[in-house]
Amino acid sequence: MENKEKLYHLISHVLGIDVTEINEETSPENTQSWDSFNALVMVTELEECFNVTFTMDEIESVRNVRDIIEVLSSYAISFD
Amino acid sequence: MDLTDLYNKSKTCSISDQVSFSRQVDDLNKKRELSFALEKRIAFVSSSTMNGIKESLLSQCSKHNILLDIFVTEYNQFAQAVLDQSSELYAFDPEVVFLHLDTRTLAGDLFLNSNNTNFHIDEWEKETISLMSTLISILTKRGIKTVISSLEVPHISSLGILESSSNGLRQSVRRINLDLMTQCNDNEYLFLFDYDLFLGKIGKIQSFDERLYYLADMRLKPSYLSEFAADLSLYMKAFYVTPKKCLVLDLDNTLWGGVIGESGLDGIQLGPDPKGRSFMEFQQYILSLHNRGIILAINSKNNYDEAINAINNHPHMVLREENFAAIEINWDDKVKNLKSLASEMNIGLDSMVFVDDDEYNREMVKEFLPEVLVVDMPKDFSMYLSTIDSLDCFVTLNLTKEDLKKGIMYAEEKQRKTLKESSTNLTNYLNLLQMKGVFKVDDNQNIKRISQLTQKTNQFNMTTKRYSEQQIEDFILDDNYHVITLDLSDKFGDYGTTGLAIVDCELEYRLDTFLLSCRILGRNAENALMSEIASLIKNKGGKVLLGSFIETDRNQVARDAFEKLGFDKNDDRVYNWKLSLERSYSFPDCIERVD
Repeated sequence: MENKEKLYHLISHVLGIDVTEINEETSPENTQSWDSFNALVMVTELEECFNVTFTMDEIESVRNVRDIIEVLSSYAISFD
Repeated sequence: MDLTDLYNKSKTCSISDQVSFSRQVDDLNKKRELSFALEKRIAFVSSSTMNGIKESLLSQCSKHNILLDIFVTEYNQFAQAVLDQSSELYAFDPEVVFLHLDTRTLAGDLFLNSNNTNFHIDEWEKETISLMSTLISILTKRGIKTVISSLEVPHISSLGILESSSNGLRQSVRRINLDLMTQCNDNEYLFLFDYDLFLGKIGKIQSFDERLYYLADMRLKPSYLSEFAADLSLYMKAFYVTPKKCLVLDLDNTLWGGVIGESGLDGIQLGPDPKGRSFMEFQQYILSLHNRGIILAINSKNNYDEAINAINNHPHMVLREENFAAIEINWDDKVKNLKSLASEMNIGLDSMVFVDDDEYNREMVKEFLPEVLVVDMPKDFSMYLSTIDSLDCFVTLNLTKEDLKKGIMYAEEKQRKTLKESSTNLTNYLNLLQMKGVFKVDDNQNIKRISQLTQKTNQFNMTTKRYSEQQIEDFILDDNYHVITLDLSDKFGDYGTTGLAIVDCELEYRLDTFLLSCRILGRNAENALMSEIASLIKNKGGKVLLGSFIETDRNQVARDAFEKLGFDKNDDRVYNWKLSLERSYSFPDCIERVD
């Protein structure tokens, strides 16, 4: 599975929304189920899925899906 | 859709799985398309962020077919919720409260600074015990079953290796935990969940995520929530689900390695070598289950003589013939044998657990006797012991002396049956049993068992009045009441406390409660107990004893008991029987009265 597909699938599962509703602009502002708890669930499940460990700064810096992709890319995970 | 079936079909390992499982349960329940055994309202009261606990508990209790309605207190509102009698917690009216306080919150600044001389750790310890005791007492006095978590013994300390030997926070927390354990012994509504042990099991370093702690005040990493909830759900199971009673065991490649019919007594693996030891320790574990009250039985395809010879004469066999309450060793199929075992021991198939290394036998039992719990034994027999240990099907909240002996009693019953078959008539049989009866009046050492007898006895129970331990204690302390117990034993073993009468002596002499455990029915024990009551009342100057029979759909066996005991009809609506104490009341010959 492509990394992007993997990522969107994970987010849709955590937020309980359809995968087609997700794009790079998806954020806590426009997605009701993206609350502070689900954000942290997303962190632990992302770390497990991509085998990485985020720093607290990185967790704090995420504002939308694009930011997640950016952080993951810095761990040499390709989204091209 | 059945709740447990839904759970088994769903993936519920991650938090998001559990969230979507909870959503599904909720939807189905709203549409009234969900079936379950029980519905319970519980509350989770916590001092730290426990998001996700609701979904995890709901998922884990679904395993036991219990649908939960869960109330979780607001962040850090545990004290207010419990102390304020008009709080949402009490409006929710939970039957069970999980009270989960954590060391970091309770210790505050002291947590990282406990060796500061300005802090008085002893005072903190006293205050903490007092706070916890207050919360516990408010909840339990309302009759709420309260499961309190032990406090985490912190692994971080600026004192390093010195901490463990100094009188610091670690020792204080340990003492608080010991205090909680003691409180549980004295409070029938209080139960301890050893959270510190739970953290030890998964690892304290593993379970704590600094980032989630600083970002969201989480103390337990969400990925461990489901294990946490699974352990807590065992309390719900113990409160509300009848535990299994009987372990049915195969022999070849289950209790020993190899096939006795092929390898012979000297060839099977059992004894102090690596392979043999795993079977020997497996048997030792089963023996310890037996000693805590689990009934054992054998269901095996073998030549009877060969197998029994191995059980009785193999030098390293731990379990022997006398440990088993029923034995089926033959070439019949295992389903047929399980049915015979159930009827022989007079227990339900749904209280049996079947252990067999052979998958074909297991699948057959699952197919034809779905009520039997079939254990999927691992291929590697070194894992047998841990597999049975992790079953959690024998969980109970407390064990009385009588519970502990149940496994042994059923095995003794097998010997009684043999005697009965060889006796010519009932009187002859009762005399051969050499029964002994011990009576105690107002014995405050046996309150747990006395209460249990009123709760559990359905058949020979004249009034079926259920009493809590507190109520029994009140009767014992009240001079107007007498609580009389009978402990019966015979030459095969001890039945423990199995007869009970509560006499109300205030205005007249009234039998408030008169019951016998079904274990001692048909042994004239009712005559012995009544004779004891009669002489007690006579000594107090009583002339008439009133009895009350309240019919239920389970106590037909006791319907004629008062008449047989010499009572006459009385025209009172409640106390509808009376016994004149003018004439003498004789003690049955077949029971010896012992002081």
